[in-house]
Amino acid sequence: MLSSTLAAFGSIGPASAVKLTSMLLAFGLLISTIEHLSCWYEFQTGGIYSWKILSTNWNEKRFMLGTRAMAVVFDFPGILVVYGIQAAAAAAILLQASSPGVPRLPLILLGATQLLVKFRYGFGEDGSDQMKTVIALPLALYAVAPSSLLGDAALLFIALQSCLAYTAAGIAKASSRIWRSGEAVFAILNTRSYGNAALARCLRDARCLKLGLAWSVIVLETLFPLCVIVHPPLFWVFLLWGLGFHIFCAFFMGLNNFVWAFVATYPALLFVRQLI
Amino acid sequence: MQLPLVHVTLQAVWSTIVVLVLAIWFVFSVANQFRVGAHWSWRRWDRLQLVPSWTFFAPNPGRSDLELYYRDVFEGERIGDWIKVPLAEPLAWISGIWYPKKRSKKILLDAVQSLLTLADKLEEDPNLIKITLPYLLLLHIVNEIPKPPGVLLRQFQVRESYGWFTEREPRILLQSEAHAV
Repeated sequence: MLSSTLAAFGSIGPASAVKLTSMLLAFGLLISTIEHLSCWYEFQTGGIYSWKILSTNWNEKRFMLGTRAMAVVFDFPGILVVYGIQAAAAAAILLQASSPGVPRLPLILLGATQLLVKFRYGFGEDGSDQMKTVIALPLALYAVAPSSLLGDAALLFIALQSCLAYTAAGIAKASSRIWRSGEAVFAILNTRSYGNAALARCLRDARCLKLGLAWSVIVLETLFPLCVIVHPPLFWVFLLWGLGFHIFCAFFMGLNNFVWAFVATYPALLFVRQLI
Repeated sequence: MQLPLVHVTLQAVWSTIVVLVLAIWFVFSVANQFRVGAHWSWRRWDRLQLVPSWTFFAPNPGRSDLELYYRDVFEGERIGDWIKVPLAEPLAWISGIWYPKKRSKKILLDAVQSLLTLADKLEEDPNLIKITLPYLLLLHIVNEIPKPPGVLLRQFQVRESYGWFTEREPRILLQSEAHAV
């Protein structure tokens, strides 16, 4: 009974998968762009994200773009306009949730602004920014000239990147002695940057708990790609574990943007499951 | 009558290009996780870092915190105390939903790691480090902090500490020269 209910719930067409992926991505990008805009002063000449400093990363002549042209887009206040456009595009996608299809122009703008933002940075990006890029760009390319082939290709690409992300992270942990011993969980949660004092205190002498947590992450991350071939109850176990894992990392490690970036790949996994 | 044909052809060309781009992008993504072709120089062409690296907190997770300090040299060669730069506030419950300051923390981490790598590479000519992006970025961060009267020079220092429950003492990772303000 449960199995058939989950199987029915787990069917999704390509158009719905593209729409759901776009909406989850848009919500995640809306949060991160507003986070950036709330720190607008850091983009000024004296701020941490000063273009005066970050532009030294680029040899502008190589890109045949003038210093002034680049400054218009990337210096203060131009970069805030880029973030403003991204936030508006994300909001437009969310506001059209009840209408059929995905608005094309906002989707293209999400991809284009994501590229501009990546161009500007060089330091300070994290894995959630990478995941948002590997979702936003295929969807933008699809939106330029939508077709069923491009919709399927974009969803397949997003699903493959999602599987690769989890399994590469799992294999890298399995190859590490500190992860296999369980000590990595305590070591990370004991830092002020990504940790939590109360959790670190609980874990400090709890060898079995550390081992259990470390190995559950190693095993579930490594085996995550199996979710596209296993039966529905197990598929939902993988997805619920992923959701819980990202929510834990958000609240205890401050990795809030990972929740939306990674969960945005789940509709594509659901769609690819049906293809197999 | 020819318009639909042109439309179909353009759609087919675009679809082919997109599918090829996505396929190549994925192949490079797989190669990047397992350092396949690490000796090739293809990574330097990926200036936008579009090829992802998914090995979060592994194989060697960050087990320490980085702290940025600065001190001033005043007229009469008086040297001030080291002062910590407050780059990020501690995690609060709201950080699970809203945490704009996390990027300041990440930018420091990336800049210091990059600087340590560069310091090894530029061992023969350490002066070159002073014109690298991470060095300029750290200098810029401390230089923008308001200066008390009489300051002539300012220098920065990065310290590594080891969390709440540890017996290890913090250590100095790197220290800049004193630069004119």
